Amino acid sequence: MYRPQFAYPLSPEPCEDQRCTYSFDSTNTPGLSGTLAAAAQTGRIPLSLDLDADFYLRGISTQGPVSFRLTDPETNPLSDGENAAQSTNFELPTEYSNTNGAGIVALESGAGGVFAHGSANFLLYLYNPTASGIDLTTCVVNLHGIKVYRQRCE
Amino acid sequence: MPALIQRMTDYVLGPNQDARLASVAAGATITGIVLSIDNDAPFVVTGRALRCSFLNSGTLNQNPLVGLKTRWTDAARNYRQTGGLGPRGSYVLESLQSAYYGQFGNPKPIVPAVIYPPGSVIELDLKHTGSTTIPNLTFYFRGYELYPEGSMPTPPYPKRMASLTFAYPIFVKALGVSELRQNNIFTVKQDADFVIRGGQSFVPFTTAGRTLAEVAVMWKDANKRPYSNDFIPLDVFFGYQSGTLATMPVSTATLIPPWGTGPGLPGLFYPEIYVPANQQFLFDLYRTDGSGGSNQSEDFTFNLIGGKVFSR
Repeated sequence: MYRPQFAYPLSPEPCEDQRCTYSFDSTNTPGLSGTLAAAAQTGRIPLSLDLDADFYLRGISTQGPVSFRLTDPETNPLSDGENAAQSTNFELPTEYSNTNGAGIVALESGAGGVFAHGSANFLLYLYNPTASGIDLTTCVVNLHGIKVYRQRCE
Repeated sequence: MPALIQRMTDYVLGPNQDARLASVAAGATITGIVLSIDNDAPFVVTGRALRCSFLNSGTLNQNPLVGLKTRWTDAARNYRQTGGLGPRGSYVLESLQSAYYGQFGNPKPIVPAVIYPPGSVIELDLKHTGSTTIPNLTFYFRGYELYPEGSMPTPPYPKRMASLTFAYPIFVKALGVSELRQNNIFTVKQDADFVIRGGQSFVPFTTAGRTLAEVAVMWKDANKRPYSNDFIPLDVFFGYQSGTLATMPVSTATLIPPWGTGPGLPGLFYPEIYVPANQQFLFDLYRTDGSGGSNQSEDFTFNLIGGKVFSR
């Protein structure tokens, strides 16, 4: 069960890293509302980050049965089969991100995590792999990581 | 000591290796079950698991493993466990040795590791004190083999590199009820190398007589050299988010379903497998659900998780 993770260095003092969870759901993300029909896809849904600090993404957890693909603010996808059939290129949450609250899923990257400037947008694409509509108001995407307040280093 | 390559290897000891394991009756004692290590490299055991065919009684379960006791040896034929206050070589209940019998990408760690020289054997004895016949009892000895440096391709990390978390969902279309589908090709995309560190798989199910549960895999490198001596069920290699409660022997609601497995703790490839851009990683799939009930060809997905590696 032991699973070593990448060790990320702490920022040198007086820089400050703050643990941060960005939680996106129907209350703050218009794209996560309504019903997604069976076998339907969405366009890109921006997940907007705060303006006050850069963010390093280090983990994810989600709720709900909808499949998805996430890209970083540079539009690098964080998963993709790149198959001809688009519907096969999304991650099933049961195999990728849904832990039922038992921890979070580490997204291991070099250089401290997946970098995003303050105010940048991760992009979310949804796909309904089931045979019935999915109420997107039940879906939640949590991005776990740290905010880096660089101005305190200056 | 010369540098050695560690290559992920799993040794399977099941009915294909010893026919007596195809059906282990309640009360049976079987001794002298032998697993031979290949002659080309020493094998280092770092983990262990066991499994039987799913029993389908409305829900999939591993109930027949209850009451199974085992003992096994190192290369010098010394037993590696003691049962309670008993002598070395006592039989030990498997249910007390590991969570989920080491399944769901969650093998029982063996620390310190046990080294088997080339051509040596693992000898295993068992006593089944349970009340149900065990169908297709199979043991999995997980670890790595050691090879001299230069004996096989081992692409290194670039001296200057960047990495990005990445996962490839692998879609499998219409795998037949008893189909052996060989040499499926996974090609790493051209933009970056990919290092495979873990994976997750589908949730086995049985619904109205339609079952998708017995799907096994054999990984191979680009030279078609396998990483195991036999097929390994996906649910031994990988975990999944839900369903563990129903498939475990104690099917009361006293366990937290995703404990110790699931996407937060994916099944690991150890040592990791580095596949350069545009190169291939192969796998064979073998489904043995059979044609009973309403079984049919099924689509499913499993997930290879790791990181992209970019040269800079």
